Amino acid sequence: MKRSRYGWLRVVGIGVLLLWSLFPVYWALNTSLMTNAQAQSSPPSFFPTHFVFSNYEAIFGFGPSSASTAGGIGRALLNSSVESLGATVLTLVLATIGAYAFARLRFRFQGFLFYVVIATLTLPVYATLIPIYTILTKLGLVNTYLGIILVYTSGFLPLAMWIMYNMFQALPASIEEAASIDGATTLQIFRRIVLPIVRPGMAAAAIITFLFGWGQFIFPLVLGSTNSTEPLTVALSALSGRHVVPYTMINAAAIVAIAVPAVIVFFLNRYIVDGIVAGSVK
Amino acid sequence: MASIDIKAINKVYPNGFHAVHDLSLSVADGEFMVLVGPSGCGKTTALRMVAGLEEVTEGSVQIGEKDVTVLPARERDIAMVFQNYALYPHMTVGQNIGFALSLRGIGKAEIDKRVKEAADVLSLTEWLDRKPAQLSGGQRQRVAMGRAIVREPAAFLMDEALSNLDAKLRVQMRAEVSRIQRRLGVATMYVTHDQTEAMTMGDRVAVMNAGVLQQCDHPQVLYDSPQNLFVAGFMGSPAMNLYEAGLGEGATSMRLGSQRLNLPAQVVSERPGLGAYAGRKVVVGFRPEHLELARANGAGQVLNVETELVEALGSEQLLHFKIDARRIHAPGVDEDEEVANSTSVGVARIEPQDQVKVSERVRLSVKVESMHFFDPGSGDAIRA
Repeated sequence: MKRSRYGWLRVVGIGVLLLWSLFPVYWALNTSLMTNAQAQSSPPSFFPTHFVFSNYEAIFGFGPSSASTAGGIGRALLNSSVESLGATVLTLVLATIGAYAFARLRFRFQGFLFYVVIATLTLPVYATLIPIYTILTKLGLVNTYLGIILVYTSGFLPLAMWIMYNMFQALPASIEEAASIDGATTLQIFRRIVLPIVRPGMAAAAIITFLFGWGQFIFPLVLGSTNSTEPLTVALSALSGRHVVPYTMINAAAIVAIAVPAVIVFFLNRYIVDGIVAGSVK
Repeated sequence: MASIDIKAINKVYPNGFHAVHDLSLSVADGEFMVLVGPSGCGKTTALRMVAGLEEVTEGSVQIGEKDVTVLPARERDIAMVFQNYALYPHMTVGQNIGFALSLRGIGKAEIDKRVKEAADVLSLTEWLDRKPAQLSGGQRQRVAMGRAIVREPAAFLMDEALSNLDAKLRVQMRAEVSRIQRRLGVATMYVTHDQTEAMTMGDRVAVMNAGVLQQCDHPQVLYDSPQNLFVAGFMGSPAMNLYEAGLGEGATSMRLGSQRLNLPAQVVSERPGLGAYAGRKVVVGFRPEHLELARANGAGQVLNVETELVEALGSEQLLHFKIDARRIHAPGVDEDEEVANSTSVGVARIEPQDQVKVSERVRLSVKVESMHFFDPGSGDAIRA
């Protein structure tokens, strides 16, 4: 790449951006490895003087100073995983089939219906919170994995579908025509030709959906009021009591919550970029 | 192996656009039939109806003994090469070629053997384990061919199969496709907008315009005896020179702008229909090779023209000239070509050693016997 005269400006810009977004993460990690006394010392220390892992032990229910929600973080980790993964699988299946239909089939009100689906992306989610709560109550799905998975899926489906739609649009119809001339049935074309080709898009949609699910707070807070469905995000906030705010433990739990998406993004971000850019470049 | 019989097929799209009108064509077993015409003339739609990728609104398509009009593409036993090759990007070259065979439940050993044979024919053997993205344009084109020939289908369909190649490779592949087709002896329909491809590759050529078949015959027949203005203007490069002319009384002479040419009796006797146009307007056409620089002592009919541009091609020169007659454009010929044409009013092929300067007046002798005459209203050739 050519170095421009203002290259240093870019370096500074990127530096500021990184500092802005990474420093809080660093601060959480730092605090999670301190004792309470250390964490509240003034001036604050930028490094733990000696590492303590008692906070991590505590949030998972081990050690002397276990949290009020003893063992709760472990369960919350499981809940987060089940809900996010469940929503991801369901969203991906529906988005792939739906987007293929919108991209390839011809039916009445097709364009209009597609825009309605995509337009739901612009709805403020909080506007739907109360109605959804009422509906789930009537269906007996409050405080169940299924209820939360269904709600997540309804929320994430449009974006996933849009990503998949772009993938299918970028796929020349002639490839499918060639396969049908080669003797493949519609199902064989979908399974053996179309799906393998759009796999990067599916990976992107899956990762994004999973990350969204992992970060949900208000819906699971309202729709699941007990330990049995409470995800990490909610459990984390529940750590602070009325009189005591255990900063070090909250930060340890936050680091656990961050770790999963961080690992995913670190190893799979190639797919996110590929999937989102697909269709824009020939 | 089989013939292809198209009987009066029509294609009308839901929006009412009538893309193909009553097209009837027969491609004999082993014959190479080229469908040619400007973009939007319906040739690709016609091909796709034969392939089963487009519904036939009316009429029937028969491959061999079987009426396939309503059969899905996969049951027609045809192979097709697409303009963009439509290779499966996630499969290797070998898997691409063998895909159709694997769908038929043929054993792996047999597939490998047939894929190898096809790859041999197309010099693809060393690329069998590559993915399409790792191949050059010419290699991809050959993989698409391989996918078609490995099947030993009843018919081959090719849709602008060489259009995505660069000019040099296109000429090379033109010969190769012809060679392979003759070797396999399969009825082939080949769609192109390039009249040179049509002339060089086709056993017969079907010229289409605006959804209607204009003429279908051997390439030389199309070139020598076009049935109408469209075929006359479309086949041949540079295109035929077409002008409005006034036929004299008795059809013994004609007026081309301010100049007069005598028509020998032979011209009229070979085209009896011309008599009826005496004293009326016709469209006259002559090919660039039917003009040459007039020798000082030469006899024959002569046109005085003003030179505008000389293109030296080595084996010949193209002399672009102006005369004061009104140029006629063949209906439906590409607009791009029309713009290019309007700057050069007429073209003559002259000898490479001829010395001609730009913007001088020269005399061109015309082979009047080889002229074509067309009705200015219908565009039909005036013959019988």
